[in-house]
Amino acid sequence: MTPDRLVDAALRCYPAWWRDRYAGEVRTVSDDLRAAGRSSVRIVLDLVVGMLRVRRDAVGMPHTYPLWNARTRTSVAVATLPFVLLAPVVIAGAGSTGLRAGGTNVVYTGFSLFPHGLMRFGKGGLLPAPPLTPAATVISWAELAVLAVSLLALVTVFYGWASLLGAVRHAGPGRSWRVRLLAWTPLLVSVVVIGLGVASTVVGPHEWASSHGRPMAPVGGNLALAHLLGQLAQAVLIGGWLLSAAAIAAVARRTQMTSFALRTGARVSSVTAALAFLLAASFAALVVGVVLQADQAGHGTFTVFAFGHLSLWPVSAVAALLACYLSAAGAARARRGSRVVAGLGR
Amino acid sequence: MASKRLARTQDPTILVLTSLTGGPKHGYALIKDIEAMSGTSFGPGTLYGVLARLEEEGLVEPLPEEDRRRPYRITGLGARVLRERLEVTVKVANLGLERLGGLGA
Repeated sequence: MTPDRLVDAALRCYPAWWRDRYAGEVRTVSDDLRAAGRSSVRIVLDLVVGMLRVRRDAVGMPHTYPLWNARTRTSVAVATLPFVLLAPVVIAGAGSTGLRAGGTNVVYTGFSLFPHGLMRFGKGGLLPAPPLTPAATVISWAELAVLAVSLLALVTVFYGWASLLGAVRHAGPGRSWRVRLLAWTPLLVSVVVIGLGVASTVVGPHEWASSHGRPMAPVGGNLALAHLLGQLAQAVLIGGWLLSAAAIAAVARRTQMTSFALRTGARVSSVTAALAFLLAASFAALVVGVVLQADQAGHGTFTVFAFGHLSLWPVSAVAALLACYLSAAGAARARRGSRVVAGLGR
Repeated sequence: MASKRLARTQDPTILVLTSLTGGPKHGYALIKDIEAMSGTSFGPGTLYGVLARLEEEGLVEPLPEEDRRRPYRITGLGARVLRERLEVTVKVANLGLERLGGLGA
């Protein structure tokens, strides 16, 4: 790519209002600098850094209703959608746990959010298991916190989505059917996933039985088809999750919202930012617990947690930090944007 | 190394405003003047970020474009703000130099 094209590409990444005002001048200054011997790479890097600053701070953006409305909508999307996308990675990293003591599995007896009645299989059936190490106790609380934060996040995201649907409805009949359909994508995905799950259960084996000491075998139904439908449901769930986030972003971009709807969006962003922080803190506590329990577990005298997806943890940690930063930054800008829009009135 | 780091900490808004006290300048002239004045070399992205902020705060104003280059000039408010900032800087600089003299450095 020639230096001219690189500069053009960097300038195209700036917001339209900025390009209208400064792009011509910046192009001329870049040409002058290159003619004076300044390296093109240095100029382009400076333009990219400048573009990130302009997109982050919107310095010099004209105080017009459509521009600030769009900026606030983008900020709400930045505050919420990365969290929605990244939270499953963190939860997957934290989840998939099992309790182990001296090489045998330990189970909870009865329903309990906190493992009081730990039991393990022994020669005489279920026997009391050793107590949790202090570090494993920290892990169990941290897991509980991850679960609670995830549920709160789900409620918040659902509230935000419901508000967006309301905003699309209030935007009037001018909204195309495509935008309306995009807005309902999460529900459509949920229906398909539930449908596939139900179908998998219906076509699957009616029961499992064992005869003459042989291993358990399916009775009736079509196991292969049930398995296929189950796999399909998982694929649709993951794909649909990503598709829903993209669809919501597209709807938010295309729908001009009232200042009331933007204020709601800013509040949802703030709650999401707080939840992202709590999720990252819970995950950090979990990591500390895992590191410490290795020292505290002693040859079966304690019960400890075993994790299935440890390789996901570094990714989860980076994802949690990224979600925290984007959510906090997006929420701060959404709050400011909603105030500006309210001030511009309409 | 340390002196280079200190040079980088200079406030770009002060540099741009100080450069404009010498008369209206367009982007490239500003970059060259600031480079000669302080050794700091701005890129176009940095310079126009600063100019946009100063323009938004009413400290500089654009003049009509001449041959694809738009000059900027400092406003009355910009001159007042710059004077206040420089007076504080001078006070701090004088105090620092006085104390350095006391140390025999």
